[in-house]
Amino acid sequence: MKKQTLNLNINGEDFELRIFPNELLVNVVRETVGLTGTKYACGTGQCGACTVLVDDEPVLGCMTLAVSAAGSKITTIEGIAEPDGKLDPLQDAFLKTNAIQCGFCTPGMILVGKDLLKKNTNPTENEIRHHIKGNLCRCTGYNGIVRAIKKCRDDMAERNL
Amino acid sequence: MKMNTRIISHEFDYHAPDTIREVLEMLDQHGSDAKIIAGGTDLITQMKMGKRTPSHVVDIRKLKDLRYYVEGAVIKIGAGNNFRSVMEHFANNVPCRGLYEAIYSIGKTQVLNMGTIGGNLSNGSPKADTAPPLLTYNARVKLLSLKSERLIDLKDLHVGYNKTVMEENEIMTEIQFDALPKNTAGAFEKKARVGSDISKITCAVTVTRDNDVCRNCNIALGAAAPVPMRAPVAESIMKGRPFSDQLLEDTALQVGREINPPAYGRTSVEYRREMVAVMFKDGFKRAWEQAGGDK
Ligand SMILES: Cc1cc2nc3c(=O)[nH]c(=O)nc-3n(C[C@H](O)[C@H](O)[C@H](O)COP(=O)(O)OP(=O)(O)OC[C@H]3O[C@@H](n4cnc5c(N)ncnc54)[C@H](O)[C@@H]3O)c2cc1C
Repeated sequence: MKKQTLNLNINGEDFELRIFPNELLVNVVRETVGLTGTKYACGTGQCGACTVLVDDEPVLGCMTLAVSAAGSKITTIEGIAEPDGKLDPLQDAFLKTNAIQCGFCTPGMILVGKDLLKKNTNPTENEIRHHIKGNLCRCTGYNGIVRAIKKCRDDMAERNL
Repeated sequence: MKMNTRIISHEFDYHAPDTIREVLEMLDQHGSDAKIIAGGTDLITQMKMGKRTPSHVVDIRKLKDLRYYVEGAVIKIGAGNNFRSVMEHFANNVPCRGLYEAIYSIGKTQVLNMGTIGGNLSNGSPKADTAPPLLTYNARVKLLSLKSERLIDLKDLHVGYNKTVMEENEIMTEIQFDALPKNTAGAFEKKARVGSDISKITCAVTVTRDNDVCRNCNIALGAAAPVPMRAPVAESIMKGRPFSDQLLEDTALQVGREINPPAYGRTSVEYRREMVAVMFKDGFKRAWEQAGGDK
């Protein structure tokens, strides 16, 4: 098995990596690139902690061969704040509503939450809960997380008035 | 089974050909050493568990030629379409409601983005959620190799637990079925351990209605036997008869009798038998109402 060159654009920055074909995206992002905001947990797609956006769609980093993302645009939790450090509105809402306890699920939750708000600017509580079904949280009981996404939804609506 | 979930420990070469023809050539060349990967949501788990150790992994996800829809007398779905795309395509299609509900039940946003309908059927699992609704449509699948193309009935695809009739040099390119008749509607019912999960038992119903008469009631079940199955005896109870509550009860009981689940997996045989009858009734009632007619 030979290493391959892999060109990835991660959070707007171009990377030329040398990796083996059997390496998983979550490990390449965390260990080769050093962006540890993306978490590894179950490794079987159940928990969603390894979620990253590939070409703007949430996918499971633990079930994606890194080589298969060649030429794609990857967004991790580190890439959603503004360059000057100003938080994304959903990150801000997570902080303001205390939607974080241990924080392990938070990166995945925020990426999936952003995906929902991009596709549906006015989701109901049921729609929110359905959209985050692939992301497990063992601390909050989800209520805080749902509240955060609702707050972000409402803040966005208010700003557009 | 002991499972390493962090890495894939065996070595392989990765190929991402640009055309279906190149995929077929690779499969032909490498035989059982090669494995197709589409979304990878089944295959990566199998590789992590060491259940599959292909030395060549052939990626078909970027092939646009496998992502299409054709509407008309025959409805055609490219095998490379991901769950999300199929769900959106059938979102307002009343006759094909069962397929929509089946994919909706898979739930997890990331799996909907990654998993493909072709992968769901090719993987061969009796729990594949798209199989039951497609069985009620009498769907066919197109299998292509360098030397042949064949169209087989979906009911003949699965031949045993995680086993299909597909040859190792074949790729599934298309799922197709005849457009469903007027006054048809369907439903999909699923029981799983948690909100969105692999099925314990599922039931798809597709009903065609002629006012009060049930012209056709196609019933298919997942995780109910070693392969996804139809329930022909139960179907015959309802077919061609005016609807009555008693008929519905009789049919539901027969659905429970007709399943043949293995005595292992995510739940007991008894649970499946009892539940599937209730699930059938719920699904049937929803479909019956949607199928319209005068009443
Ligand atoms: C967290 C999680 C939840 C899941 N929940 C569900 C669920 O609720 N319901 C459900 O039904 N499934 C579920 N699955 C299983 C899986 O997502 C589906 O079976 C999916 O459709 C597999 O498609 P894929 O494209 O990812 O297949 P892959 O994993 O890429 O491939 C699966 C198998 O099919 C073969 N293959 C793929 N495409 C083709 C083709 N076109 N021609 C020939 N062979 C092909 C591959 O070689 C491989 O053997 C879940 C999986 C995960 C990880």
